[in-house]
Parts: sequence; structure tokens; C-alpha cells
Amino acid sequence: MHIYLPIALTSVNIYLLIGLGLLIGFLSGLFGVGGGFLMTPLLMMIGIPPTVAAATDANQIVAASASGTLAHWRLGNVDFKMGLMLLIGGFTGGAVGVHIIKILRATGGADFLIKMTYVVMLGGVGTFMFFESLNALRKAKAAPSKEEKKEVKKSSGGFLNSLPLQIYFDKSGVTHSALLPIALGILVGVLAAIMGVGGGFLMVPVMIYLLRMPMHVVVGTSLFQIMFTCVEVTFLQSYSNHTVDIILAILLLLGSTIGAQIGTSLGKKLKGDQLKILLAMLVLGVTIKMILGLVLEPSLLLAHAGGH
Amino acid sequence: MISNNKMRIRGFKMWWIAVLVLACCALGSNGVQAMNLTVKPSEIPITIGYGGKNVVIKGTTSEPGEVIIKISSKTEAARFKYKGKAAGLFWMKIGDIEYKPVPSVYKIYSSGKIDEILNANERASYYIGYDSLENMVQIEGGPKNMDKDLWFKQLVKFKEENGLYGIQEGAVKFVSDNQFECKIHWPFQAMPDDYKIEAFLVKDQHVLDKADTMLKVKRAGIVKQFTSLAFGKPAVYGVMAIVIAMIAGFGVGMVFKGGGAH
Repeated sequence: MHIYLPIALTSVNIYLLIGLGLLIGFLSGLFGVGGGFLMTPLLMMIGIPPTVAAATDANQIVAASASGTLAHWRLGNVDFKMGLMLLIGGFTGGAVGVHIIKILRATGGADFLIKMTYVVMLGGVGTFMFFESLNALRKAKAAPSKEEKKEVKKSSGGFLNSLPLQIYFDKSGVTHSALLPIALGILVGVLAAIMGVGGGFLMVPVMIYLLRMPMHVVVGTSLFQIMFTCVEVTFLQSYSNHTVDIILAILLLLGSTIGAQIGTSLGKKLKGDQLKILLAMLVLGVTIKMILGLVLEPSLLLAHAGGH
Repeated sequence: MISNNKMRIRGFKMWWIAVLVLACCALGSNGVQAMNLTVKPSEIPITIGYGGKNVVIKGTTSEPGEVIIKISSKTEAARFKYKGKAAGLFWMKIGDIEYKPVPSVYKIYSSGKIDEILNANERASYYIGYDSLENMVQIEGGPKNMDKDLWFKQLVKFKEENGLYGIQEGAVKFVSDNQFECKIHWPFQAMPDDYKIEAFLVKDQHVLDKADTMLKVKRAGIVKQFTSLAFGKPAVYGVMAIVIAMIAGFGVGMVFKGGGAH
């Protein structure tokens, strides 16, 4: 059954879109990522213009992350305090990143930088998470009783402890200076804007390894944060670029809101390290696909103008 | 009497001449107007369930021959990103390329092989076949020292993969000596626009006759409303998109709790 998308100006199969939404929503609820890094290329593969794919995906993520946030909030997995600070940083970083991209576009060579940032970040993050969680899983097998020891270790050095505005984040069970999540938020915001993604797959490792938050709280808090970022993106894209296709978003969110619920309840049954290694494998899979796309000669040497 | 008779005979002759001239004119104009062309439907509304449309093109010719049908849009500049090897290693989009003028839609249907039934000069002057498009197109941007032919073929490939260009030889069928018919599936990828359909009667390598008609493709119903809202009131549209997503997200979250999913 086909449906015509008024902004994307193309006709698509309804069931295919609902299925796609279900899959990405599932991953979103499971790992706390928006799924933009998977959804946007998949939409482009079925003929949606790149600019519409990216903007509409942000709109769809609002729904999936709202659904996921609610589910995680019920499980006590959302650290609102931490989420808000990351958001403040993320908004600032996003604005800076958009500006950097504008300058790069003007000087040329932006696409090269975007692709390289993407591959290096995805590959680096994926590899690190993979081996780290593999080690953790091995250790857990060797000594299952010690597995649940809570890491209440103070963040690494004396420098971070000497920063002002030290706050105890009770949901996550960590103490940090408020400046740390804000600064990390800015960093992720800049990178996300350059790559044109929501940044969930960067934010999640940052929360795990740099903010030392427990995996389940990371997922809930990340979704909470992503929801706001995507509200902002949806509005700006609708307002200045007219690239949000509501019909497409509705079809996707039919699947993704339900998928997010299923993902959340599956995530509950898995251990933190199991979740991490699965996310790492997903990220590495996407990296390999991107590298192949860069190395193999494309069958068509032309692409739609606009987007990347 | 005699002169009267002469007058009568002269009048009779005049009358006959008039009839003959009229008949000739009628025949002559018949020769020009005998070729006609209709398309059903002649208007295609793009509504929410739109996925392209089956269209039938019918016509009659003044005499037997071969028929070529061309459907095309107005010509314009087509802009793309082109891919190449960056740093000699990675395939990626490395710059802009522009083709102009080219039609956004270009479809040819014929009763026989166009290269065999029509001579090259007339193919060029009536813009029939990809060669005729290639002759008129200018390519700007693109890689240095580019091979025009190769990059034009890329354009054709891109358009064909999107259903917007195509040449189908043998798609025009004759139902009788001078009645032809062509059944096509109009591609959903074609933008709302007015498209010109032209039919050419071809004999002995030359165009003998032609006729044309229009196919109008328009947005309608909810598709039209959404488009005008998105472009006319983008702030309202944006807020609407967010509200729908929020309600759907939280709504599904509530339902799952209500259903006792866990």
C-alpha cells in the first residue's frame, strides 16, 4: 500500500516505513541513541531526499524519545539534573557547530571533513566500547560475585575535583562539577552539528566513561536529552528549510514509539556490559558500511544536491 | 439564348471549380488535422494514496506509418553533486555539476526502433532520442577535463533510475491501420507540472505529421494542504509536527503502561 509524501515528493510503501520505525525505535529504547545515524541513510536508500530525510528523522525521534523517556522514567532511569546540564552544553555546542560548518562550506572541503569525522568518531568509539565491555564481561564470568560492585570512585584526577560547583547527582550516584557535563555537552554538540546527527551515539559513551554514570541511567537520561534537541531541530528545519515531512514522520513514529517500549523492556533484562557490547557492535557495523561506501566505486556518480 | 446558355455553363463550371477547390482544401486540411491525440486521464491529481498512475495515450493517423510519442517537461537547469575520489582514496561527493538545459521528465515511446525509422537530422530537430538532448546540453562544473559523453550518460542513468527518463521502443501498438495506442505507468517521481505529449507520424525516415496534447499533474486534497501549510506558515507547521510527535510518543508510553506491558 502506497502513500504519497507531500514534502519529500515521493511515494513509499507504508509497511516498509512502519517496519523501519519499529526497528530504529527498538534500538533507541535499548541503547538510548536517537538512531539518526541509521535512519537517515536508510531513508535515503528508499528515495527520500537527504535534507528531508535528516529533518523528518529529527521529528520522528521526538516521538520515539518521548515514548522511551516515559518508559525509562517509570523505571527510575532518568537523571534530570544531569540531563539538563548536558542539554545546556549541547544547545551551545550545536550553535557553534552549525557556525563552523557554514565557514567550512564557504571554504570548500566540508564533505571530506564531515565524512572523516564520522568514520573516526564512530570507529574509535565503537572499538573502544567493544573491547572495554568485552573485558568487563570476561571479568564478570571469572568472578560473578564481584560484578555488581558499584563504582562510586570519584572522577579521576584532583583537577576535576578542584573545579567549583561540585554537585552530587543522586540518580547516577556520582559527584561532578556542573562545569564538566556542560563542557562535555558542548563538545558533543559541536561534533553532532558538524556530522548532522543528534549525537546520541557520542553522548552515551561520554556519559558512561567520562561521567561514570551507570548504563541504565545513561540510556534514560540520553533519551530525555535527545527529545529536547530534536524538538529544536524539528522547529528550525520546518521554519527555515521546509524540509520536515509530517506524513513521513507520522508513519515512522507509528513504529518507533512502540519499538522504543519494546527496546526498553528488553534492555531491563540485559546487563549494562551486555548492552554496551551490543551497541559497540552496532556502531562498528555502521562504520564498516561507511568505509566500504568510501572505498568501493559507486554505480552512480551523481547525487541530489543538498545534504551530505 | 445562346449567351444565356453560355452563362449557365460558365456558372456550372464555376460551381464545380468551387466544389473541387473546397474538396481539395478539405482533403488538404484533413491531411494535417487527421492526426489526433488524446490522453486519459489528462489530469492526474496527487493525493495521499498516489503511487503513479496508469495512463493511456490514443490517436489516429492520416495514413499508415510508424509512430513516436514524446512526453517532456519544460527544460531547466539540473544541479547535482558529483562523486569522485578525494585524496585519491575515498569516493565521496566532491563538487557541483550543472546540466542545462534539460527536461526534468523525458519519455519516448515508439512503434519501432527510433534510430531506424527516423533520420538523424529530424531526430535532432524534434529532440527525439538521448543524442538530441546531449547535443543541446551544456555541462558546468564537474571534474576537470571531463568527458562530456560520460557525464551526460550519468545524468540519463540517474533520471532513468528515478523513472523520469526512458525510451521504450515497441510500446506504441497499432489497433488498426491508422489507430495507435500506448499504455504507460506515469512515474510518481514526476513533480507536479504541465507535461507536453507529442506524437509524430513517421514514414520513409521523415516526420509526415504530428499532434500534441497536455498532461497536467497537480497536488490535491491533503497533499496540497500540507504543502501550502509547510511553505506558507512554517512556524505553525513546525509546532504542529512537534506536538503530534510528543502526543504520539507520550500516548504510546501511556498505553503500554495501561496494557501492563511489564
